[in-house]
Amino acid sequence: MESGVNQFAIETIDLKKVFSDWWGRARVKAVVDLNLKVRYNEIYGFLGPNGSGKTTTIKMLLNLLHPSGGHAFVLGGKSTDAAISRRIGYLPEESYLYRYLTARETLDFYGRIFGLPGSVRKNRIDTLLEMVGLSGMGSRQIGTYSKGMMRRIGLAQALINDPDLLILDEPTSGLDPMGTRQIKDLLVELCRRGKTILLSSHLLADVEDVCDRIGILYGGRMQIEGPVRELLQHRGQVQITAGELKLQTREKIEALLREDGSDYQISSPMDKLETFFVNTVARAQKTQPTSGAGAGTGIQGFLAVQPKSPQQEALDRLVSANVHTEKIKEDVQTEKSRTRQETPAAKKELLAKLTQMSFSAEDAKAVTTEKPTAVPAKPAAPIRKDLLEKLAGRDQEPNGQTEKTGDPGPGGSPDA
Amino acid sequence: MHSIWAVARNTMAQAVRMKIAAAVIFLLLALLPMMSVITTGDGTLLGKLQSFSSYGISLVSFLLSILTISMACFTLSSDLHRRTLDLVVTKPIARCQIVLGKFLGVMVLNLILLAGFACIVYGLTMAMPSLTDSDPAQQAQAETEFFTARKSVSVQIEADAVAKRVEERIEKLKKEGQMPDQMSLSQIRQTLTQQEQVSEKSVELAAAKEWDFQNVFPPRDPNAVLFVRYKLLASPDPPNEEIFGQWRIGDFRQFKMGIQKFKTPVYAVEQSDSVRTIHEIKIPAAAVAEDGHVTVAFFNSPDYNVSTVIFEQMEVLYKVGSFGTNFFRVVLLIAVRLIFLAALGVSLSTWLSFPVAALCSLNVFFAGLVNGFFMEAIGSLGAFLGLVYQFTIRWMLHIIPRFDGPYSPTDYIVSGEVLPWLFLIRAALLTLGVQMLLLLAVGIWIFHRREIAKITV
Ligand SMILES: Nc1ncnc2c1ncn2[C@@H]1O[C@H](COP(=O)(O)OP(=O)(O)O)[C@@H](O)[C@H]1O
Ligand SMILES: [Mg+2]
Repeated sequence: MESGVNQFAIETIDLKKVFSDWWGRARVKAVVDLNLKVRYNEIYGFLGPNGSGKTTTIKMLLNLLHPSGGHAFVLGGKSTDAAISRRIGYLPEESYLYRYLTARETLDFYGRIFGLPGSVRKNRIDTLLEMVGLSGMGSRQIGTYSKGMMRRIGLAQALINDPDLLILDEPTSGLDPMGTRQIKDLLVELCRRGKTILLSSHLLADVEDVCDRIGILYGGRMQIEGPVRELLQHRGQVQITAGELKLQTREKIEALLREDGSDYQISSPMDKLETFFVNTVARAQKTQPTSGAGAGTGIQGFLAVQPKSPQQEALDRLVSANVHTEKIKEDVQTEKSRTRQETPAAKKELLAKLTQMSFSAEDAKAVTTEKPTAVPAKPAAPIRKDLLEKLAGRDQEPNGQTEKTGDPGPGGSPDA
Repeated sequence: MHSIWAVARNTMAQAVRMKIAAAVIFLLLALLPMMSVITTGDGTLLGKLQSFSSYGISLVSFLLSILTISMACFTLSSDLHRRTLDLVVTKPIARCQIVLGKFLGVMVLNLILLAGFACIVYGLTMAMPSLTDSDPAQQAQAETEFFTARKSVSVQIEADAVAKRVEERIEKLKKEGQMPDQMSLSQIRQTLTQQEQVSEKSVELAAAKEWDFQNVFPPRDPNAVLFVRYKLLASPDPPNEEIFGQWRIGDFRQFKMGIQKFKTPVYAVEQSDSVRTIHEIKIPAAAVAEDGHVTVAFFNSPDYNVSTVIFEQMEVLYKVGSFGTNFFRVVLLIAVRLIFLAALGVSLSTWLSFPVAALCSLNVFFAGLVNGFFMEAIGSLGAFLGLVYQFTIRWMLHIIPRFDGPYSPTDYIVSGEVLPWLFLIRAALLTLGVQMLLLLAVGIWIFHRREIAKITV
């Protein structure tokens, strides 16, 4: 095919899917002329409201559905090719697992299909079960699991072959906040190790922390696409984040701004991606109908003004406690420096946030160019690096890792 | 191969854990020992053995056929329905490997069950003579007529001769101008053919009939025996429901040479037999000529009988093998049937939902059970209707394997008749090598093109 094919881990060219009824009449245009491009070694957030065609696109990528038009390439070829599907891990929308098998048998079954030898299979299964936090429950039938537990087994199943490309359809649905956090940390960690991840979701908080790039789908069309930072950054506006301000200080600032003659607004910071998401969908709604769930204005308003419930805040605090361990600090630094050119100010701010130092006046003036919730949270049960190492079949010292993961650029092809 | 086996193992786990096989297993485990106790047959040891083995084998083969059909239709369609296949097909496994794995799993599980239950039936049958109190004569009869594998030779009705006689009679009717006006020529021909076929089998009062058997080669052993097996009807019904027969069995060609030069003996048997029941006459195998020729003659003596006798069945049998190996071959014949049904169910469920696939499979199964009957019925239909069926049903019956007549496993055991290896191999090649492969190929082709994630409601 074209030379471009090998540049991307996932590439679709004018991909279309029309669901027709029994008589062949077109009923639903689920995907319309989609050009999705996911680079190697990035985490791509595939966003969209319910029924926007995310799952349909993923199913076409995996040959579960046949496109009505256009092409879909995965890892530079078709997913029907065993050499390519060997390198893919897929977590479906719901965990479609055999209910009569135990967790261990399930993983063993998929391991056998991949042709893994017995000893490797056993090691991986132990490691994976431990990683997804189900090591004590491996001999229970999956039918007896809760939804979140099934989700975890689903994820373990997607990792059994140590895939280069992970396609996750709403991986965090049904998971508890701790599980969500763990998955997010896992994804970042996997990306650090050179994997490519396509992550579909409508839970924005999930995507915001981890994704390098996002695309928002609505009515089967890609509405907007780009790096998270770029999309969320308002040009020509400056945000000042500060702690509690004394009334006088605030008045002084307001006076200064008035003097300067610029428009201003003072409010508490809010979840920016959420606003952005809602606005994008609203814009799209004005110009085009959807086949999926329509976001009525009521819901829009609901989403926009809904304050965080006390429990939610408590959970947020819970999962973001203890952010100042040295380990996390290092991790985040390496991760960030891999993909982004840091401005010194931003770096400083990041460091400050990490160590929870109070902001000096100068620091507070620094322009926020960082991802809005870049504060990494310490996971309730952190991903065990040693487990990942075992899975990837690499047993080198920690020093080696940073070198290795710093190496491949975002466009680089890891299968070279 | 490892992928196919992984799917097969999964399929077996499904059948076991979802208790699909449990009902059949428990039913058989309860019924077989019970039947071995309560079946009596006609009261003799032979009758008991025959009726137990007949019920036992039919039951095992029928229930396992039903189980195979339901498992085969269920496994793939439930995977599609529950969407578990969505995940499996994204792995490096070809669609045909999934179909073959499902087929293999269903097949292996059912063959294991078949082996188990065949052992049970065999064990109960073998234990039966020592567990029932029966006199030595009955034991001996069971030994020669049941615990054996006998080859059967019968006389073909000479279709050409019958057709020739029919044409002669038609010519005669035409000449005499007695052709019935209200009947078409083909109907007349059909009626006359039936008449001739009956007369071919019947012996008038005070008449005799001879059957010449060729290629009869019992073992050259002084103790070897030859069985003449027959079933007779009488018209009108005799008062005591019995017919007295005077039989001569031997090489009649020797009569020309004079009695002193006889190389092989001719045996005379005189006995009274109930009508509509199968009987056997047992004589030394020495009656058969060197070249495998033997003649059986029956005289319908007016001194004892008042009816015309019609022979429903007439064959000679002699021992060629042991009961054990014959039983084994019969089990293999059932296995061929189960393997075919497994392929049928899996192939159909690649594109039909469970209930539809199961119904279709059952239809094929039952059609197979009456296949021979259908074929005959269509053959004797009138011209136009026959032609219609010829082009619709008939070719379908040809691609459906037969489970009746010589393909029915029970008859071999009940009559102690050998199931020849050659026949078994030919049946397996036709059913599995042609019909089953065709079915599987179609199923795999459909499954290969199918959109797995397409919602069907
Ligand atoms: N098999 C199907 N038959 C008909 N319509 C379908 C089918 N699968 C999905 N759709 C429709 O396509 C649209 C996109 O669905 P989907 O891709 O599942 O959305 P989501 O973005 O929530 O994953 C929806 O309107 C849905 O109703
Ligand atoms: Mg979806």
